[in-house]
Amino acid sequence: MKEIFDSIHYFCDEFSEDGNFVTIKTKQLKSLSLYLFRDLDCDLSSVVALRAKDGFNIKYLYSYPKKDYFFIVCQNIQDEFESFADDIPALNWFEREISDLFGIIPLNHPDFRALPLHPENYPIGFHPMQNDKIKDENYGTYEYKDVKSEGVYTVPVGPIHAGVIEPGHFRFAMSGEPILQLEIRHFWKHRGIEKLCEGKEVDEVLNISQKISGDNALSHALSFAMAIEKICDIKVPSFAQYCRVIAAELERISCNLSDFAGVFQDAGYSFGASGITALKEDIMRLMKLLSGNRFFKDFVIIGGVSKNIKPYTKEIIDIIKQVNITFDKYKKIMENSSSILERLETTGKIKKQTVKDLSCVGFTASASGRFSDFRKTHPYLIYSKLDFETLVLSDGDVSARVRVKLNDIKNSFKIIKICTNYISQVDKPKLKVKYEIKDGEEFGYAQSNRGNIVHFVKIEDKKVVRFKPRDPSFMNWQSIQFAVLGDVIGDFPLVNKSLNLSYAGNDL
Amino acid sequence: MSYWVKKGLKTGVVSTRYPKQEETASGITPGLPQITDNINSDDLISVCPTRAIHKTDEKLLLESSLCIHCYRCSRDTKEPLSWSEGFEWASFEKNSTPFSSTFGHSLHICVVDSGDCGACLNETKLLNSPLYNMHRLGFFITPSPRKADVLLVVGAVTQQMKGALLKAYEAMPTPKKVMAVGTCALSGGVFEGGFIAENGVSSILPVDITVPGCPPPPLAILHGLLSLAGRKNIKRGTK
Repeated sequence: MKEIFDSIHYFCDEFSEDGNFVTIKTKQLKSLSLYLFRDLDCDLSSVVALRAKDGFNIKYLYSYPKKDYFFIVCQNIQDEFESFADDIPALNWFEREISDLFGIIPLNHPDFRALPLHPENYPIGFHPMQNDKIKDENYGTYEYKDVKSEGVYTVPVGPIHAGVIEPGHFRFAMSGEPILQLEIRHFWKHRGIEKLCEGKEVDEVLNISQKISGDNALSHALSFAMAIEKICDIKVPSFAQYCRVIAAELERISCNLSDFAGVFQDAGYSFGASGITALKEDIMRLMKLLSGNRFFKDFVIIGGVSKNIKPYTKEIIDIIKQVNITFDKYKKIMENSSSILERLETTGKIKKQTVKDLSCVGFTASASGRFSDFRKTHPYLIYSKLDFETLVLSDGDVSARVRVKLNDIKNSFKIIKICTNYISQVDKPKLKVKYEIKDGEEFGYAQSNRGNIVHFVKIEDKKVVRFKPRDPSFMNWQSIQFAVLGDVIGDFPLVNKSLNLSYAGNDL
Repeated sequence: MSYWVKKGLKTGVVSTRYPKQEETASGITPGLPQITDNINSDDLISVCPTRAIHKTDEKLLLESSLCIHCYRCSRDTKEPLSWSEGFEWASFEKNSTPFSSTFGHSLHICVVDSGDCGACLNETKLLNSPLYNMHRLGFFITPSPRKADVLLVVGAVTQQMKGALLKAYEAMPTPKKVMAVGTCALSGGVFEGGFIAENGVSSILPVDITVPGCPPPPLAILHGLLSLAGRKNIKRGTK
């Protein structure tokens, strides 16, 4: 790391190290960003804008996958900043989001259209995070990038879909059977969580953070709690850490199973889909037994966990064993059925370069040859003590993503087994510690089934003044525009399901 | 192929027998707190994050439509509340009635997500799973609002989804009913004061039946549908 730090020193004016977070202030912002993103091969993890005394402050968070380090690059600006979206495509949506919410303008942005706030619904001059009066009260329109040519037709879908799906708008440009271009337009469900959380109590924000993406409620709560625990120097008891890992892995199994069922369903294999959904329900009933809630809501609290799961160790072991046996059967069926494999293979290919450019996370990246799992690269809780094998594949198609997820489920079974062994031996379980809220700002992160979640929290006067959650789906949604190219429109549901993207988490 | 048949026969019927028989399996519902008399109320009110537990005329009451099953009232208080396991929570809004018996046996449902977190939608999705299997009762999800009898709305309606939701409602043929599912759809929930259009679906569309819960378990939604079809007698709301 010393060599890397030396070369960063070359660019920077101020440099400070705090644990595994390295904060850098520099005037050569562009060359440093490119050095981190291209030469060091870092992933862009989050971009946070803050109101400062004089103008605004923007923090770019890069995660270094080879060692457990994060780089925070800061810049102070007035009301415009230079856009790097041309060189770092992962910044595209972040910059547009900041521009909508704060009213600061990214100069030379390649695609400067409104993102979270649709101009049809909100006045053009409405920037909620700026606390200024609305300057321009007119409404605008959104211009789609339709392909206009002879024989090319557009298929618009959504925002309301057929079936039980969240809302989002998709525009396919078709030439005969194959898809020429897909343009997605989201943020129909923008609930203004960032604005809503300003000035709220920590407990209230913990409550709201669990409603960012319902099926990842626990991972979001964990990520937020860990940010607060870092700010307030709270040491979580090791029993609680093990409980948190068991809960996180159960949630991962539940989501991955529902995903697996969805792939079966969309590949036209309802026998497998029904069987797997039944398994998912078993896990959800176990979750209810452990925490009282079928989605593990309110299980993680600041400083520990809310319920003792030690009395239910036997139930956890029994149910996991049962689910594991049945799951293996379905896995075998899938691996031996040519009709399913034929449908999954070569469908929805994402190239390694696309994954790198967009800084995709989770299984989407791992299935395209770029490993991404914070449990291994930036271990938190007790994950560094656990031994599990992760899978990296280079195919990048639906089949590869399904295989990565199947491996993930197997890992979770293994981790739960280790952790239940540990907690059954603890004599005096300590669930939580008392704490006092302090002022400060930190990043918290956790790995959900979809990829890593990164939360930024800033506390002043014991109130949350800035909360910027970043859901993994926000990083992964753009990759679907590349995955479907050349496929037929009938494959779209399958590709969409295999990427398992949350609309609510993306829209916030 | 033969394996599927064999596996199917071996597994047998796993669907719940509800509503013919009571469903008693554990873990099907998050339950609701039970308020009994003689309970020291002050710390209960302060611990409840959504003001579901409140005091009216010196009497402690529970507004079930606001409860998010966080268990704080049974965990962080001096006198913890006990919890009930029921799930038959649906209630009709004032002046609304179930479908007349001419239509009441089978319903086609259009599901619109207008800004939920995904949990309510997940539970709605599970109604199609073999454990709940709503097809056996004659309930079907339709791909288009034009074929639907019931508009099932989840989530607090966001500004940006309001237009689409109204269009879906207008596209439905009469007679049509609206069902609001989940705390957010009922009152805005924790997003009250956020970028949601109004507080709850009822200020935008004429809601006929409400199912509280955060999220309501699949059987609670099923109970709401059965009530709407006039196949289950339930209490009447006073709003």
